[in-house]
Amino acid sequence: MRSSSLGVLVFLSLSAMTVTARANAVSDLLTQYQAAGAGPFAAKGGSELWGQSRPANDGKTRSCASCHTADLRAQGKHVVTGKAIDPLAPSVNPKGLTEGRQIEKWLGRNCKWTLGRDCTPQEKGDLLSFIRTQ
Amino acid sequence: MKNTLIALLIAGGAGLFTLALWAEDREAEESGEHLGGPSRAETGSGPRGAAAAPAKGYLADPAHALYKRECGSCHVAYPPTLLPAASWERMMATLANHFGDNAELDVATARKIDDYLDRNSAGRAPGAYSKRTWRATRGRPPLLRITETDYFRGQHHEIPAKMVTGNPDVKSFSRCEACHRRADRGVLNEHEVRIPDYGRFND
Repeated sequence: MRSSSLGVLVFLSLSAMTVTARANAVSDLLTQYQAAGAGPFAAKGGSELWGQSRPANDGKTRSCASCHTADLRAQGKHVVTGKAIDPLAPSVNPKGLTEGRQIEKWLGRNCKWTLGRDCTPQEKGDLLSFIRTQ
Repeated sequence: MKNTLIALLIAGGAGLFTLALWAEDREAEESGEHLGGPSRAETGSGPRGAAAAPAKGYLADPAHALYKRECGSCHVAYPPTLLPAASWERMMATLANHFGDNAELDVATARKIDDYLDRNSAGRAPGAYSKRTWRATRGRPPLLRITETDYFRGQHHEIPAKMVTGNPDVKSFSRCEACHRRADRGVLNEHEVRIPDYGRFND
């Protein structure tokens, strides 16, 4: 009994820690983007960017949903390599959006891969504002 | 008579060469070198039991943890000793299109991984496996796919496609870890091969 309540306590504090880590990681990045002149950020702008598609040089169109699917809570699959992709939505993937360096790395890679260019600080802020609500 | 003598000499030379290769394989197997993985005595079958194996070779490299985190989060952290330095150099220079995906790294991380791959590459890492993989790629344009090296092909050509590409639990030869369960520890010997849905492979 005692060990199980201890377990619950440990679980709760770990969940609280990931929630805090996410809040910190995302708000640190938003502050960074603001310092670069962007903001205010809106989930709506992120959602629109999410739905945007563009023709890639392989003759197909690419959008965020090509790999992550239209539902951010679903398991994704890379449309070229077939690699399984964990859901982005923090509501089903508690490890999502917890590390600033990782977020920046993947935004950098995926904006280039999907849109063929870097995202602006405004776009990155909007995207994060959208993803964190999912 | 003279021709027979020359033929004998050539055959003898080839025989000696094969013998040398074989001896080197045995040496690598017996020392448990496995591309820098833990030796057989350290993997739990010996009297010391299941104690954690001390890392060797590329696994003991101070930059290995970084390599594993950055590269091994998308695919198995391929033992760097499977490709020569020129291949790794080309790999790191083309991360913007890494087999169809963008895998770019920040400059500082890329440099550390570059150096790690270079010093642990085929021919530069110490040991018999390193020599073997280097010899199999020497004098060739630098390949990016381990599965295209003669070394890899020689080891896998007898495996039927249905067990790998036609097997939904394996899918591709590039997923070493599907059958070599300790591939991320550099253990690729055939004794430990377990093909999903098929088990051991006896050639």
